[in-house]
Amino acid sequence: MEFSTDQRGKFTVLSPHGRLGFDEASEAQKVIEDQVQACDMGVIVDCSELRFLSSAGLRAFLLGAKAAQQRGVTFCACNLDENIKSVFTISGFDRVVPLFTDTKDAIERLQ
Amino acid sequence: MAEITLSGVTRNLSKANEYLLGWWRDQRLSEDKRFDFELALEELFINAVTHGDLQRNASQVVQISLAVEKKPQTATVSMRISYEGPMFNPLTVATPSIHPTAEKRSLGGLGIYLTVSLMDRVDHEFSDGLNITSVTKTFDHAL
Repeated sequence: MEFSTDQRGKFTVLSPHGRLGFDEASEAQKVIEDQVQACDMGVIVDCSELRFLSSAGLRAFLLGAKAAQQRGVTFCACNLDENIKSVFTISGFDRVVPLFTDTKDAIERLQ
Repeated sequence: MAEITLSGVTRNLSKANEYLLGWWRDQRLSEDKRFDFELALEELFINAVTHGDLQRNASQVVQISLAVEKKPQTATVSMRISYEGPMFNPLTVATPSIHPTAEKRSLGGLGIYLTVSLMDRVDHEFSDGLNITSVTKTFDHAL
């Protein structure tokens, strides 16, 4: 699985590419947790290139949210397509990980 | 009906996905409708391998069957996952509680909960030592 990162002010924007399912969850979990530990104010996961998300993939988001809570930083997601968004809303994870329209929206509302 | 039989090991999930993708394209179904079946396939395949304890025995297999019924405006896709093992009905798994905070969230039962939520119908039967879980969904599809 590929990730790209971008620094936007005090926020780290992390963009996963492709699938985030059972086969990719462990790697994604490590990348997310590393970014949460290294960030300044928080991590915004940009899902615009994320094509698939299962319950195993949600685990990576959950552990990212827990790590962020422990560090006292922000952890959120944006740019979710309809399928990815439905996984978040059906599972109730939209209440664990705040969702925003795009990175601009996330940064404006978090600052 | 199209079928594939795979050894019951988690590394075969990618082969199962490739099979679904190929079949979906052969049937000329809408790409944006595949997501729900991709999710159901992953959740049910991993469920079978882990709850059926299939990885202990290299000869244990998971069979995946796919079928579609096309009408002028709709397509109904059915997928069946079967494996030999102790009876395990995923539909009896307790619905996960949806706590609002990260620290109280757990993931148990979430896969089948998502599957049931995204499909029109999910059935399980145990017959001749086989656990058989079937999912069905109808969506818009112009011929």
